[in-house]
Amino acid sequence: MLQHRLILFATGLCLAGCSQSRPEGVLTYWCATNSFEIEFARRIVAEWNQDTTHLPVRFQPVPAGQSSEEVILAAIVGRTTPDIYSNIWPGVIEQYREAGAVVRLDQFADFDSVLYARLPDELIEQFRSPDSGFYQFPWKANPLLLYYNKGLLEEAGITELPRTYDQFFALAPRLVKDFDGDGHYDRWLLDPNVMAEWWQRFFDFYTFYIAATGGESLLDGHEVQLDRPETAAVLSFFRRGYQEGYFPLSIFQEDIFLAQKVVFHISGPWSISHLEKYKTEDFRYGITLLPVPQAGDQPVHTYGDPKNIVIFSTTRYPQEAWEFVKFMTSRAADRSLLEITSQLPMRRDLITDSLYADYFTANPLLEIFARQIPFIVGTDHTIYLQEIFDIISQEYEAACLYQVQPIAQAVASMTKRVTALIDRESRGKAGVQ
Amino acid sequence: MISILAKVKSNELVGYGLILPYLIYSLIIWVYPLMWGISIAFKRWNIISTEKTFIGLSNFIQVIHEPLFWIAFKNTLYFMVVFIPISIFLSLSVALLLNRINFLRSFFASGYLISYVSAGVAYSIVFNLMFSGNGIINTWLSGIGITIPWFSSPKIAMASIAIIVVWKFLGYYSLIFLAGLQSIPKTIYESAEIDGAGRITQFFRITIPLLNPSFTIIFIFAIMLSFNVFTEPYMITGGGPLDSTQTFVMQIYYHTFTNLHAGYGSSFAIIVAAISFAFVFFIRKIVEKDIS
Repeated sequence: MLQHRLILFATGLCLAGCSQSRPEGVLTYWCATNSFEIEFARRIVAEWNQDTTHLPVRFQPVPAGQSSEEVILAAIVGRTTPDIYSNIWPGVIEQYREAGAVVRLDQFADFDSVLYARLPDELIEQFRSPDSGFYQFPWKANPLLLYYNKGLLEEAGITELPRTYDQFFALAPRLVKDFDGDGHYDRWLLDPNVMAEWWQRFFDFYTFYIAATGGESLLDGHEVQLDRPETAAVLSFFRRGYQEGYFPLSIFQEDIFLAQKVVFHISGPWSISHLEKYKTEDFRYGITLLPVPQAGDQPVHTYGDPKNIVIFSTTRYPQEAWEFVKFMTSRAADRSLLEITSQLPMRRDLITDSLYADYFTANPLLEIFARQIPFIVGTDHTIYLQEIFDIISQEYEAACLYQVQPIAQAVASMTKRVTALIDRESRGKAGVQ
Repeated sequence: MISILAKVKSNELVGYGLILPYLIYSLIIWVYPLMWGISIAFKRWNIISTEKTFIGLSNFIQVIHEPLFWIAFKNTLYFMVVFIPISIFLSLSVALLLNRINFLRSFFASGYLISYVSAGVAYSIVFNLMFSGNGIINTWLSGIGITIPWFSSPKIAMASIAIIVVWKFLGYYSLIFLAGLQSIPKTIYESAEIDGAGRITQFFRITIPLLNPSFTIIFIFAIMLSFNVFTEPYMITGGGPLDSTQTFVMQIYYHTFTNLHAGYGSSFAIIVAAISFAFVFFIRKIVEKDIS
């Protein structure tokens, strides 16, 4: 009898010790709404959930709305945020941090080791908030570079790509065309977007500003860095393009780069799949660095359009959420990210790691963007970022697109107005607003 | 409470009971939001924070001093100057045509309403494509050697927006005019004809004066609409070029939901509403006539 009891006791102990039941609760994860990222999320979550020792993750695309930022904003207000959200734009982090909506990630013991192992050294400080904490985990980037039409350059006898603004415009007489003789060009040199929305300036002025300044952003702490020759040079570049008709002052209903109506085009890696899908047989293109005012030996920086991961303060399981963030940014997960989404994880070993080598061999154009990862710049840490870009957009439009104010005045005006905003922020009060 | 109820007659109770759902609806749907909106206009609040700081009239003073407020005001006046005459002329013309036909009148009238019930975002995209640099309109015009920068010229961008809005409201305003035309007794025209009045005299001496209620309503609607234009410039021009299509509602939207200055956005909205009401009041004084 005693023997039976001992056996039962031992069996009970074994069952309790050997079988690990799934922890209670569930982590919610919102991903971006594009089909590729949904597929990536599906695969990563499925792999995570296979391990029953993990808190299970339930994912869904961010709910429909005007923009994902608006949906997240509404969720913060309603305290209905998920535990984890990927694809967050760093430009909104400071607002969320000030509202206490996001978890400080460097509170986790292994955060530093994970971050430093993954992210190139050059990028680490870009994602640190003014209070020296990290509230976002840097995930992926889409560096902006210059696409060019190979066929049109060859047709014009151009063999060397422009490195400086002067070289760029020197190509214009051989490339721009007025086919119907109406006095207006029908083939242009470059096609920056003419819309006045603040975020459009990330894809023309800001990208060129970063390249011209050797990788600097608009602010150095609380100091506005706009009042400098490079700002004037960038504005002059765009002004000249519009003034001489080399850049179209119009909105088009077609992709004019694909239609071979423009020779150069600023875009990120996302354009590759679009061009590959829709290009005609005679359309050949390449990708190169942005032109700068003065060429040198230094690398040319660009805007990286980074998208990161946050854990919202509403989570009941911050540690478990952090474990999932590590899982979805692991070496293997980044391989899936590349394969499924063609987006570039911000990894220091992206080019050197053998795990990714065959992918880049098969996708050589994407490798050009991958090599640019250490030289990307994100956004400044300010709650007024959108207003700052509103100001820049207004001054850019007046000085460059319509030439109704001199460059020097535009630089002075944007510096003064942005400084007023930053002063307000640094005083710790939002003024009247 | 019981004594109060006792004093109210039972049939009055039934009356109160019948209007109760509407009262509750009004309290929830607009009275509470309105009061809440007014209250935050005196505060500094960034929507995502729980902290709201009372700052008195500062938001209102800042709105009045903001250059974009006056740019939006000027743009609104420009919009009205283009939109109101064109929409009234066209919708009255359509109403006169519809009034003359008996066959399939309802069909045509309904057809004109399609634009009114179309989704703003959808038709804005379509118009954007049509009016773009190499869109269908400019392709046609290039045949006679003209290219019009519909949305990229600061001088005509707002007029282009107004034309789109005219298209949207043409059918709706036509129906208002049509109802007005059909309410004019035919006997008035018959007696005028006996008195020797021609078509043109009848139109200017009978039709136009007796359409005064329709004109008044359309003027009021058009003014209120002018202060509320949002979807078309937001979707097509983003307020540009050179802020020439910035509107009040776009500014309210940007301040509130993009820049997260909810208190400021609310004070902006209150000022715009006050100006809108003043315009409506003024126009009613000028246009509205007693035609009894």
